[in-house]
Amino acid sequence: MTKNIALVITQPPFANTSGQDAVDMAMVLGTFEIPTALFFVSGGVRQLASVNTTGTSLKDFTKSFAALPFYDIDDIYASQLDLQRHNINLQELPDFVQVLTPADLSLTLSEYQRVIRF
Amino acid sequence: MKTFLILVTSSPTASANCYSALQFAKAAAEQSYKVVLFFYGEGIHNANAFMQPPGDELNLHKQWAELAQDSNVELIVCASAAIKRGVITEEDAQQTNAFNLSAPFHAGGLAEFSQLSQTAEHFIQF
Repeated sequence: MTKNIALVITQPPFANTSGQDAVDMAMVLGTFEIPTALFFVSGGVRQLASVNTTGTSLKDFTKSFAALPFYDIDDIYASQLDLQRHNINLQELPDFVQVLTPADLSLTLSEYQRVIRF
Repeated sequence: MKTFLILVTSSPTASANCYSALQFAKAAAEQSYKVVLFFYGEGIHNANAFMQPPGDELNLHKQWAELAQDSNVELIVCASAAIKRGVITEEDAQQTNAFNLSAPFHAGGLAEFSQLSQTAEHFIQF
């Protein structure tokens, strides 16, 4: 029986490399047709806000999240509460993101057999 | 024999997580599980043979190696995560003239992790 996997992203984009590590893992899991979801919580919701790396040497890997549906990863969730806390406007979110209330977030996450935190 | 897959993403020097992972792996091996470690993210530094702490301090690299030699424990290091952090196998050492990733650690890929995520009965992350 296939074990589904939730990748929980808790860190903002350039604080460390964990966002890049998460997207790398998601793409490989998707390639192997393992049901995979991403949950953006806590400071991780910042990965979904627009970033501007112009004039820096940083790679804007957050663009890669938009490619995940091409890897059959369609379940991409964000915490409504954390989006509010970080003052991220819901209208500015990419359209592949589903916003969940705290109750729906914990319920949805509980459906996954493997949870990996980044 | 049931398999315990242990994902290590913590840095060996930034927290006590890796020491906890080592204790957990030892206990699982003693309980007759087949234990497979997958080192990813900052966790790959556990596999760096150039880590040389003073003799009276914890040497995680040495302890992992001893665990793998003494029991049924496999140590897989994500090759792409390792090479970008300077943990290099002998085959990839042309540019560095030195390598610091060797047995009983071995380089693997996220493809291997994907398969293990499905075949292992148990999973935990440190």
